[in-house]
Amino acid sequence: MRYRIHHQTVYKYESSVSYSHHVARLRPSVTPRQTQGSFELKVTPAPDSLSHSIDYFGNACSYFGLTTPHKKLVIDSYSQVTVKPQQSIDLDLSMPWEMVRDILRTSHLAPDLAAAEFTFASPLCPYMPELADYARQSFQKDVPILQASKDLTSRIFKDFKFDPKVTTVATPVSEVFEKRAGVCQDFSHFQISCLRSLGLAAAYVSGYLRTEPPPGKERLIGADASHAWVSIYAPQIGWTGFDATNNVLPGQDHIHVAKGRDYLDISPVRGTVFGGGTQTLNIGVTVSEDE
Amino acid sequence: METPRHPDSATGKPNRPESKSMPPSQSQTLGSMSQSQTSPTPGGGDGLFANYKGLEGSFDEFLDPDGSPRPTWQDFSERLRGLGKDGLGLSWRRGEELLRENGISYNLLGDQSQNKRPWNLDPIPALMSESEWTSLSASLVERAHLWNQILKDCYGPRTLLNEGLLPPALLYSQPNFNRFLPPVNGGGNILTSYAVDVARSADGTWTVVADRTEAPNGAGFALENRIILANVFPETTHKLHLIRQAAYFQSLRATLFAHAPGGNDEPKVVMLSPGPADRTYFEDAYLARYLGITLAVGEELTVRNDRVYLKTVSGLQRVHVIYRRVHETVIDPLEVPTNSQQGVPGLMGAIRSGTVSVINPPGTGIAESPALLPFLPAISQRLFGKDLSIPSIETIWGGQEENLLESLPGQSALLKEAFGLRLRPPVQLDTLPVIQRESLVARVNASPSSYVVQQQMNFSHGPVWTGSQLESRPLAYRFFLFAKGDSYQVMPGALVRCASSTEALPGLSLDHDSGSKDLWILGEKENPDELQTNQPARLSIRRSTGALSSRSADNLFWIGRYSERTEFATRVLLEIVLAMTDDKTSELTPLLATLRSFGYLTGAQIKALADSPSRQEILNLLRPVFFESASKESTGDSIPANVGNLFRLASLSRDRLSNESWRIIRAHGDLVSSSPPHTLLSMRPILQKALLNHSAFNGTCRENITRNQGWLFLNIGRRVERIHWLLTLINNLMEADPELSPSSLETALSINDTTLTYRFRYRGSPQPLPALDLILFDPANPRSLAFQLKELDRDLRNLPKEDQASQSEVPRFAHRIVLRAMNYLETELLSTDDETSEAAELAKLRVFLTDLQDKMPRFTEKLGWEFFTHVEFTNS
Repeated sequence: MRYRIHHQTVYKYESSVSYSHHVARLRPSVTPRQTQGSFELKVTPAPDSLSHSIDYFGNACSYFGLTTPHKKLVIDSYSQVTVKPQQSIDLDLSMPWEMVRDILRTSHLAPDLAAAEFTFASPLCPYMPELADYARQSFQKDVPILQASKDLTSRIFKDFKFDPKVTTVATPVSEVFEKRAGVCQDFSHFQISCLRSLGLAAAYVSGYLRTEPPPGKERLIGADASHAWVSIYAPQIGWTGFDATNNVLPGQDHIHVAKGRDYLDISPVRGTVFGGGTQTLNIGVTVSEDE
Repeated sequence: METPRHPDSATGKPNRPESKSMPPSQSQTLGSMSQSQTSPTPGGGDGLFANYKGLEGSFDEFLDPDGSPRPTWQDFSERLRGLGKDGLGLSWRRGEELLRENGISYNLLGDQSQNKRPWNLDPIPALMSESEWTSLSASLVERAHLWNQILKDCYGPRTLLNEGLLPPALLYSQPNFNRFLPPVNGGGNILTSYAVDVARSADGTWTVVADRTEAPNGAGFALENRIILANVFPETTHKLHLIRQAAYFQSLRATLFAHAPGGNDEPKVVMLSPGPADRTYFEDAYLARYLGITLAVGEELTVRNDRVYLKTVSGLQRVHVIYRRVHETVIDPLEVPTNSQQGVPGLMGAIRSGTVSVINPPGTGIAESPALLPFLPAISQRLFGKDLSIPSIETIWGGQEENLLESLPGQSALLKEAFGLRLRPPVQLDTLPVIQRESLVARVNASPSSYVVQQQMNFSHGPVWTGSQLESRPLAYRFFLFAKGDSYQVMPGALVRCASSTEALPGLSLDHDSGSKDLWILGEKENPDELQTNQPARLSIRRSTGALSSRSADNLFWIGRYSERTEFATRVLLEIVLAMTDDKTSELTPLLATLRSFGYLTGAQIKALADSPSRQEILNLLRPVFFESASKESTGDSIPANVGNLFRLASLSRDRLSNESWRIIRAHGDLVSSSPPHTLLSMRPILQKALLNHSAFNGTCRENITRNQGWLFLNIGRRVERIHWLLTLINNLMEADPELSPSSLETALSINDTTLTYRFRYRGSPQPLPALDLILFDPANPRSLAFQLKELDRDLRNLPKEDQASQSEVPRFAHRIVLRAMNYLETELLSTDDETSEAAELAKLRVFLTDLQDKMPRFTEKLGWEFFTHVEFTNS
């Protein structure tokens, strides 16, 4: 499936910004199922500098700085990407989760070592014994890791209410758990904390959903903005995505943009602004099928 | 009337100079001082060492097990014996005076919540022979190499992780692991600045207690300690062949400059400090001054196009090397969002582009985690094929051991956090009450890999001066290393920490309330003067000191303003006291109104006064304005607060002021913190003394400061403030007494310090127009309005041009205000012809004065906007 994506970020400031620095992670990544097409980043007013690079986690990122005083900043990204369908995975054939946990602790094989980085707590995904307890209902003795992960995903989908009004970007996982509500970002951080509290490797994935569903299908939740889900590591299989917001395994409707330990590692756009006063932010995403 | 404040002073109370009271030890020795000088006790040491004894189970640095001085100590202890208690007390007084005079303190300028603490230095140095130091140094250099290799590997190929020599947790769990740092290529260093805390065990061997790999502090204090002790024992240091430290700092400076990317001929090196609110600011400022590099805080640096610049009054100036003291986790808020304003957004990008070198690069702090210590021996074997020549303190990491709390049975052990930024203090396990132990067990079991247990060793002891005798106390040594070429150089000396009592342990962190000592490395033979061996190439003559940073300009501008504000307020106070002395209460109104205009008094306070207030009433009103102890009662501005700001700003600008100005400000701080008098009349000599200090300060500002950009801002600040006060005073006088009676004019002349000039020029009691001509129009009177404007005009012409290229001849907006007012004073002379009525002249003048008073805030705002723009950043 080929997609054409337009992601627009608009900052409006109360007073003039004298200069600012920004970093954006907006370009769909290359994965076994994804091939990059064109990518264009348009910043208005025009930046003094704009450079593209690859970050620590392998994500494409763009740095830009402005010294033109401005009260409005518009960042448009236009990208094309091709997503291949997910090959069916037999979740039952993955290793028992305890074995995965032990391998992550002791293995010196390169992929296992690289995954081990995602077993540790990160700023937005702390270890919490309560979350380990919540997760254990799915992660019972000798259950294959991906089977258990799928079960955890469904439980979060059922137990938690999608409600953008309950949480903010700064809501900690503990509060999300308490309120049993939030948005995709909250569910992902919660699920990651659950898995890491058990000693498993889980990553935060940011991306997009196709805006208009195929005929006869329901529109996915979170399709008009950036979306987020989690990716879980199993030796030999590698990383597998789970989307608790929609209770699905990401397939052809999910476009993978960046992967990190949590949202802080890969926020789509962020910046440091000198002056400006209070700011408002508006984001619009359109993902359309490319003919 | 605006009473602008320096932006830095907007919050919190001003810092005030140290209290004058001397520690008891000094007053004790003072009494017997002359006695000891005239009749020294021959050879006896008058009991200096009488109660000194080593401690069972610890190595004593001074005495061998038989109780006689160790060879290294023989000469020095003889000298001490010769001095005796009284002689040592007397010599040490000089050291304490120096400490006080230099304003050395840790957290000198910290916020209110932390107590400002004078630097605690012991007069007795620790001693070490050159041969022992040489072998210890070799081990420390070896350790620096080891850490450098480990860090390069962690930020590069991660072979140690892949080979299982370092558990992944020790890298990935660390909040200060920097995922934005590029790998160091080839033979370059990542660890340039390194310090290590070591202690001597009971058997006399050395053990490393902690490693400082991020932004080690303490070298500045060690340097300062050395300078003070060299003054206390001037001949001794020479006779004992003390190895000097100057060469180390010279080479450190050379290394900093050599780090400039791209072979720049004249690289700009700055020390990036967390700023005046930080504990170590004094040291940063001291070291930067000693090294001759610019001290900067985050807001002074800016990144444009992946290059770092310093904001100066002449525009942006490229920075090539940053000696970093700002914590690595807040260094670049673009990459890692933070509320701290200490960092520089975009800095990591500049590092990745290779346009700037940061020493040490942010991220080297991961090697400070004690959890790494158990893995060092194997890593040393792997990397260098040998064991560490000095061991680390025995440490067990919770990630290795099931029962962490029981892992060092039978030993005195400490529980510490393994990683993290704001660490909880270590817990001593063997003396822990049972209840606390239970909650501790729960905490540790929940996350064992977040903790380490460390053996608690017996530190060696050495003599510490208690003020009356020498006592044996535990010592820990911090050594400093700096990369030089492909190896490391060790500073010949150390910052020695000594415990506050015989039983206590010395604090390793400078936060800890322990004393400090210098370490003397005693050479086997006389040292050649090392400075001569390193003669620089012949210098070409230059007269500029480089561009002035915007913040320094701002600070100097406010030094000018605060010093003038304090002086003028004092003049008004003195005038009030004099009026009360003559019982001329009718003169009070304009004077009190002026103090009110500047926020020293409130309208309510003035209203509450009786029609003819008593002296006691006035005393009660003025006390909080001038005396620190009383100023706490009032919410308004006060002279002690002004002096506090002056002190703070002056310490930020020490390299641009004369030594005298610093002493004068301290003396002035002492004056305002003296206890207030009980009668109004006895305030008079105090206020006169204050004016004397001001004259001294003004004098040193005029005569002892090079006429550079900094001086211009200082002078502009002073002139602006004086104009504010003069206009306010005259307008208040005219308001209270539109006819301007002779006694009102006498008040004005007196505050203007022109009473005598007037008397020489004119006879009889003062008349309005001649008096106002002298106070406002006469450019020869240095306190006249015309004179202030003339100075502003000259200084504004000398400021850097807005647009260097065009050298634009169009005066700035601020300058035009000055020119217009000057023009008025030059052309609209007061007319004493009979045709014009005096009242009409005064009315016309008032329009001009009120208008100028209204315009002055715009002047300051415009100037500030152009030269000092401060903008804080927010994350978006």
